[in-house]
Amino acid sequence: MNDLETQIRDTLRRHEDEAPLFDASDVRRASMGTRRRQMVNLTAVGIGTVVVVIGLVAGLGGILRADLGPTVLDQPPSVVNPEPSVSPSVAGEVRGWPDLDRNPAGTYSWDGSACDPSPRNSCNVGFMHNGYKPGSGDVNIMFEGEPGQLIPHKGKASTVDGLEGTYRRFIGDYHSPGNWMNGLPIEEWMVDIKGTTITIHLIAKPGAPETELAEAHEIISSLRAEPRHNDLGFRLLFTLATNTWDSG
Amino acid sequence: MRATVTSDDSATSRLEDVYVRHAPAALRLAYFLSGDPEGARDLVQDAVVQVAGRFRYLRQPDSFDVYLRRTIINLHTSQLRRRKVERAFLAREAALPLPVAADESPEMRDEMWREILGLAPRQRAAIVLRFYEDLSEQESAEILGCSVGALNQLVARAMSNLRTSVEEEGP
Repeated sequence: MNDLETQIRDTLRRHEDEAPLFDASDVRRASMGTRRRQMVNLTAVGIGTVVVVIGLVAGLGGILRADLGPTVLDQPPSVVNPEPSVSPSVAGEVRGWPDLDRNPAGTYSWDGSACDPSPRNSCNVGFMHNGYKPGSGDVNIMFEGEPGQLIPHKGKASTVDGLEGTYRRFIGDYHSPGNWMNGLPIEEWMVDIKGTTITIHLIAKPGAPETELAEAHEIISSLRAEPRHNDLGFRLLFTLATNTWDSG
Repeated sequence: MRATVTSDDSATSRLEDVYVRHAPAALRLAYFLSGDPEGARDLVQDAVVQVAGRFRYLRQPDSFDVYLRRTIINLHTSQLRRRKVERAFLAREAALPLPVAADESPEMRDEMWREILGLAPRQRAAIVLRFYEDLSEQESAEILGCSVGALNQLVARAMSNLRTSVEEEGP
């Protein structure tokens, strides 16, 4: 333990007594608030169920006729379209990084600073998972990129939508014990855009349904870069087709 | 009717048990993140309501603590983001510089404390989880919702910022 670490520990211990004390009246407030929240959630689930049932009934005939099978990924999906392809009307509806709770289907974006508003920001990892699917978070997607930093690619060369990118599949082995991605199958796309290497990881837990993987591939396939006045010089736009994704 | 009442009471009692068990530690974490006792209390309230209201913890009651701490950190980050936008808007409207936090309370004279409060929220959270709560890298990363590598990066940058700041202030 170095001096600075000791100093930090001492400082935090010195100030712990300033934290508010537990107040029994807070329990009542929390209890009431929780009930309200649960009622809201139940209502939302009910409405959602009705919508899904109506959608299933309406679409069942069409699905059966179309004889659709699960998507099979023979080759890496396209990564990023270098040209902005968002019409002005759509651009107005672009949201930022998905919120911690349930997010509606729509167009979202990542600009490398999604998870930290501070000027001393060091968090440039965008994380989201399909936490509202049964099984809660079987499929995870992460975007990473340090503005102005190019790093060596590790996958096989693959031209994707006009950009030279790379793609590989591997089993997570991050040499740090306990890393949650260790042992999990990972798909990785790397692509250089405006002097920054963007790395995209798709991490699936064992047994993740093919349909969920296919949906994740659709999200990655929908990626496109849009010029922007930010540290990266662009942002990535992508489409969530369902409301099952969150960053929590 | 009786069954309903019993069920409600049971649910309330379960929540109370959970709250009593986790509130003290949660309040300390919230205080270290916000540096504001009243804000910390509200933060914990909101987090408990959010976590308990989502039912998710009922599937994994042992994970309540992790969910609660993660939610506190995320709510705090969201609040800061909102306040930053609001401050920027007001400053633009009034054509005034952004307000600077008051720095006159006795505890703010503690230089290291001031520097810790000045860290980016997730850096500060990483420091508190690792050095105050003494959680493992894996546990801390799980609460922050990131990989262990990303956690270590947060800690390293926080340490670097603190070192730089303290050196700049000088003895």
